[in-house]
Amino acid sequence: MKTALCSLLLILVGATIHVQSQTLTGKVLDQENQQPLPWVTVQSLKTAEVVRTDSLGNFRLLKQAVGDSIRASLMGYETVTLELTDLSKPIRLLLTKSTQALEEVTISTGYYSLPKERATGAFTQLDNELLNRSVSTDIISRLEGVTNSLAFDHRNTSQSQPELRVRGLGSLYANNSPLIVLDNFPYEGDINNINPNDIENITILKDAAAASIWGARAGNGVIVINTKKGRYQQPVSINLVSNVQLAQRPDLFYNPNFSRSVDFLEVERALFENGFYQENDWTALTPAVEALIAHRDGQLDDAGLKQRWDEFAATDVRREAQDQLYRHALNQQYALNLRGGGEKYLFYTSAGFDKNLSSTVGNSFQRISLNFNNTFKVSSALEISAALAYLQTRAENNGLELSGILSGANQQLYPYANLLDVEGNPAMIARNYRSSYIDGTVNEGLLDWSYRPMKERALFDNVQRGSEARLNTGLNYRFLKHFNLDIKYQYQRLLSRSRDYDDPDSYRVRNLVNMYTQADGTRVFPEGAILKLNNTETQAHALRGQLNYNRQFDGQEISVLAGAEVREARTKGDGIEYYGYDDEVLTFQQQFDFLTRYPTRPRATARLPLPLASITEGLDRFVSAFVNAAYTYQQKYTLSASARWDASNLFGVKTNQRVVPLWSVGGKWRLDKEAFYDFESVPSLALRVTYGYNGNIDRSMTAFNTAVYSTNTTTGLRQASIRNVGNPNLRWERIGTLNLGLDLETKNGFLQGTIDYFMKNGKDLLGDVLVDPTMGYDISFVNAFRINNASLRTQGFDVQLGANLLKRQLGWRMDILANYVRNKVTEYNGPENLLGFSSNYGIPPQKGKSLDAFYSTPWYGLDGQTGDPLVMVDGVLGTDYANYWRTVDSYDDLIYSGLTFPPFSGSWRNTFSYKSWALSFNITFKTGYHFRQSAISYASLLNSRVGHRDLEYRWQQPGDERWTNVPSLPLNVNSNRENSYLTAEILVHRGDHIRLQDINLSYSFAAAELRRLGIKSAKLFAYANNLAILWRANKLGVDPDRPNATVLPPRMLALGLNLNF
Amino acid sequence: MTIQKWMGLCFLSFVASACGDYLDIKPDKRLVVPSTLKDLQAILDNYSVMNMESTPSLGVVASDDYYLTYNDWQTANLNDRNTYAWEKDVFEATDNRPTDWFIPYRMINYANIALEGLDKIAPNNSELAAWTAIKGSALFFRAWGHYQLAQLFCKDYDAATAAQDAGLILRRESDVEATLNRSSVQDSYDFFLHDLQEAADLLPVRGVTPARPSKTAVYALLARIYLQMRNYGLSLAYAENALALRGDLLDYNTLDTSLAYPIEQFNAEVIFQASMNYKGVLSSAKLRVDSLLYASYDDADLRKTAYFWDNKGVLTFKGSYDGALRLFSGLSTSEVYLIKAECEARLNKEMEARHTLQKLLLMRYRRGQIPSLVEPLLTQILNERRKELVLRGLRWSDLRRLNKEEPYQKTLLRQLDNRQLVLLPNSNRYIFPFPDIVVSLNGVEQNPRD
Repeated sequence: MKTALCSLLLILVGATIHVQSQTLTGKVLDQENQQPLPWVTVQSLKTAEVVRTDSLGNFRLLKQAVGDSIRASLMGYETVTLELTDLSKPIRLLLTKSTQALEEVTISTGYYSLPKERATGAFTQLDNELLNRSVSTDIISRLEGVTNSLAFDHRNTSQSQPELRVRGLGSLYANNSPLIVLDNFPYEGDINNINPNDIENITILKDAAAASIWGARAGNGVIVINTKKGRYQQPVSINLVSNVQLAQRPDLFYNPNFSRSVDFLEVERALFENGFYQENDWTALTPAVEALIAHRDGQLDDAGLKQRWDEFAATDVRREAQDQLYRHALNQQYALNLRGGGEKYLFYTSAGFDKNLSSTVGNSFQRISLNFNNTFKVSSALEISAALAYLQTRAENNGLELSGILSGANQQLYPYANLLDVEGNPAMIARNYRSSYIDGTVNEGLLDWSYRPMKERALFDNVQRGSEARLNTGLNYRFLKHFNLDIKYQYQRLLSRSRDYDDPDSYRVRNLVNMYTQADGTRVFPEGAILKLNNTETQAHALRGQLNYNRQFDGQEISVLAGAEVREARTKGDGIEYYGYDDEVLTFQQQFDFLTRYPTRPRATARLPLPLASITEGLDRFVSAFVNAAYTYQQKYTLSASARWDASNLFGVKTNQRVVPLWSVGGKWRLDKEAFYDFESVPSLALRVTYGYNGNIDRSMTAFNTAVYSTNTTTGLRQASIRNVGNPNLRWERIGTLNLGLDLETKNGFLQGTIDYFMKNGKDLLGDVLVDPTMGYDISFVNAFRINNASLRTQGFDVQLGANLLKRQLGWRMDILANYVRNKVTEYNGPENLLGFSSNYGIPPQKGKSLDAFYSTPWYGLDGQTGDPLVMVDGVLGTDYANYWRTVDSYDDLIYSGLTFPPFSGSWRNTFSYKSWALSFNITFKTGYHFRQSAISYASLLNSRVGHRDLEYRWQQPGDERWTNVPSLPLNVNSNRENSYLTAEILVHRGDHIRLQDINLSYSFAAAELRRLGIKSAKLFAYANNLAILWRANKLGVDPDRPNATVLPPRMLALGLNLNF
Repeated sequence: MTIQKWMGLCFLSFVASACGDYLDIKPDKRLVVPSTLKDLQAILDNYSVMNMESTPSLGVVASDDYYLTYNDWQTANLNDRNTYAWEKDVFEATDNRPTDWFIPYRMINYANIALEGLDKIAPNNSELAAWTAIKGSALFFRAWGHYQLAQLFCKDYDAATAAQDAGLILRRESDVEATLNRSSVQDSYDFFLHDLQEAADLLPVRGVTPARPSKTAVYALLARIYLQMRNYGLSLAYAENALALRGDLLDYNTLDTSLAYPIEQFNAEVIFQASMNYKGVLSSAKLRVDSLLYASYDDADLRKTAYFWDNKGVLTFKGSYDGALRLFSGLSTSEVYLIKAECEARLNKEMEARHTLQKLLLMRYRRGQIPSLVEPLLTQILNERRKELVLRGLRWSDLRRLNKEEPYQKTLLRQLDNRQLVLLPNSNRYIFPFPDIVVSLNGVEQNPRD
């Protein structure tokens, strides 16, 4: 491989052709302001030679003679044809702006830019206007609903960010997220921290030809983000953006995993009567159970119990929580930027400030971002650029969520809790200990042991600060006429520091102090605060050298690039915790006896908990070499090819397994340029075809057994844990992609469209292997045992249409996106053993079915006498769950429930303009999929008090089975019984829906009024999103994109102003 | 052309060097492919795998040292409910990795990985001691894991039928793709006895911590296994070997029995440290000590207050040698004394047996209040064994062993609400079934439990 690359390079370097003849020189200028125009296509109509003007508008054409004609064209300008009369002096060409000015669309892959007409690959491009149509603190969320072939997966509610899918799935278990590239290099930090106001445009690379330049990490597509830059010969412009977003309070009553107090109380009473609750002197019980105990023991009479009971039943903690713990979220965003350029210099400078007060009282986020981007033209051959980006964030996490009130106690808060007592003081919540026990300990000289969440909120201080510095330097040197050498270097430094402070009065400290208070009153655990500090630092270097060759001759155009790249990212982290910390004078305690077992309260012995201390260090390295070539003949035919070789410091693999070579080829045919083409109504029509391979890495898989070191706290010895099962036959995943595309545009730009068909064939994909427990490998510890035993075929269509329906005083533009993508497992040699099937357990892939498929068990209703779900064993209905589940071992025993992710989705975006007003709204749809509704888990209810709305509808007496499917309350946890309901077919619903994604309304002030104020343009806008689901197939009121969400994203309204000076 | 040549060379050398050392750096410093002696020792020092909760507790849950209230039984998980009630089915059908099965095999796998690593190292003189000790440790762990499984998943050893009785799936290597078959009971015992005999010559007398195997631990385990095989002569020999190396006993007179857990972790009696798979039904909130067993302790017996806690009339256990709530299942000198006494009694060395038992009881009773020894001596030794080794994971094996001798047979009874449960001596319910997943993946023979 190395030799091949090298010889190719030598050939390229050596191939310089020398031809000289009579030459025409000239300059192209803008008619209006007499400024030179760069990148104008100048074509000799006789020789068909095509050249482009340089940055000063100059061009040179060879072999010209008097009487020949040349033609100059540039997007957004009227094309000019000129007959040559005098070749002795340079000619001047003046171009006038066309009435409908369109900017030329250039596609940027991070390695090279090319005009869209010459691109063979499948790209989706989002321009600045589209990115600014929506309002958000981050950039990625602005892509939802407006980006062709990019799907957002919101199903996993435990993640704050949705997962992204470009053209469906490419892998079974390896990461399916696209690679994110910011300013030519893969981005190492948190992309959500990048200020969206600094982004110029985004390109999504979808097929092999587009993405293969990114090689081994491009299997899932690439999102290329380019920041704003200045332009040569551009007057200085200043842009100011300011907006305020306001979101509704979260609706706590949406949460399905919450029971009404009445239902919850009934359960508690039933369990109490059955002797479910373990009573001892100290373990906390809920107030209702305490009342029942008091009643049983004769301390509370019937009337007293009834009164307490009625009070509980009338209380719903969600009402109070909504008031006390939550608020309207308020996000403010300000961004200012300057850009411009002279003949030898261009710059972009920006400053941004964001301040978000999130919907949880006490949580906030602030960001400051600064950018300095300069490019100098040292000579006509040498250009040097230097850019510095700096951002700083600060997040306060001092809020208290309703769900977090008893976190750490492994229990959910009972629904009838009060956060404030009658006088409005923080109320006590039963957490670890009974109040009778707590009262007793105060007399023994212990600290107050009560837990009052509303008081706690002021007693901790968790702040996370982050900063990022990114330095980009570049050098571009043109030589030997057609060559240029491009060297880029990026340095990135990310810092994150978190500080978690627990006040001496916080429950955590009081609890530890009390636990370790000895019989003689000695406090073994110190009374001061607890402070935890965590730091992580990432430093990344990337260096790329790239040689470009561009040549145009005789109507032909060749561009070749070859280069190599080295990247490394080193992440270091450390964490430490201090006991007995005093924030006033910065003292803490360190002299502890961690070996002695102390008697602890209420009744046990324990060593002192070790304070946190950790050190981590990781280093990822990548080396790549790449070559890319494109050839265009007479603007009609374009051929492209690319190859890349990647290596990385994968651990625990053989040397040859570290490396993967990947390639692609593509072609494009501009039918409209052919002589026979005479469809006047469709002046632009092109066909594209590409094929090639991208890759995917699962860095956690190894060829040898690997182990990870740690220190054991009991023995103090160094220990190693087996982390991976070695797979000696490990290979890289490879994804072959075929893409067929059609681009068209009708006369006067009335309709523009792109249609792509694609087929991705994932080969050597890693598939799970069910490991016999007898092998002794701890699969749950980190990684499953996986081998390259699977293939996956993903195919689909991407359609993007834009129509300018009205272009008069009332303008109307319609944009339609439609994406269809399905995947099918074409080979899978793993086990198909389904023992262990449950509602949340991922089933093994099945040959011939989609990876998104899911399955259910048949439903036979509830038993009329007991309310138990019925199961069929050997043709007999009954409740022998253990035997039933033993028979569920193949797909034949299950019911196919469809896909969990929509195969067909799209959007319909309309933009109306009338005089100074513009209105845009986006309607999206998703169809062809199903979801499983959340349902009551009695195991969660009994073990951790997690309720469910359905508790109200549970079977309670014979006859109920006629109207409900919710099983009766069991008195113990039987996971087999539970699974029979939670996996049942009746819980599956269609996910199809139509959603009003967002609305943008704007008003642009008339230029004349503004000019007096020195303002070039000004726009006021309002933007709203998360508005409404217009139609949904399910009757449950569930958002099918988030079937398990406990809270929906609130409706959001933003108001903003955009000024240009 | 010189420029072009230079650039080509530059590029070529860049690519070439890139393949080399640059990519040999580890992505995470804590990661290793276990290969050095240091790595292999660290694998065997993994306390959470090799010692803590490393032995199964099925036998304890099914044995008669304790009982559960009907309510506590009802709220337990299915696996524990089935085990407690001696049901035909034990594991949940949907459990792909029953802990009681998995943890000994995980320990065995760690040992196999260490053994395979050692095979690739040719130790020099300075490494030889470490190499030998690691080899001995790995062999001990592999034997210890297999021995634990043999007490639950196959018939008790009987020299007459052992060659025919279905034994364990033996793991001799770490290969994840090896085919798995059941051996015979004879092969199983031969396998781990062989490992232990080899380990005895390799291990130091005492490890830096009782978490590491030692020569003493090997002898103690051999004594235990030969007792189980009813080979009293060999058992006695190994018990004597073990006690010769280490015979320390804790004097219970010095314990503070008012403490929540009066007996310390890593105390002087611990030869090898291990605790068993922790289960909710074995927690002090649920486990209730059998009242007859409790009543069998003399008031002068310090174990009565050191082991048990009377929580408002509910008797529960606090005597774990792990010093906390996890139940100790390792090897201790006290057990070896009892093995020695039993073997001596069975071999008609009555004098010696009395002497051995007395030595232990001296440390267990209040000063000067040791009860006089009654006849028959063996019965008394077996009673003391039961009282001393309560909830140590030995009761199940003892039941299996003693049920073969008519005078010591015991029928176990349990009351669940209005259900009376019976486990007859030598019932095939004394042999737990293999997990369904293991049977279905390998097609191995299931243990009958009718």
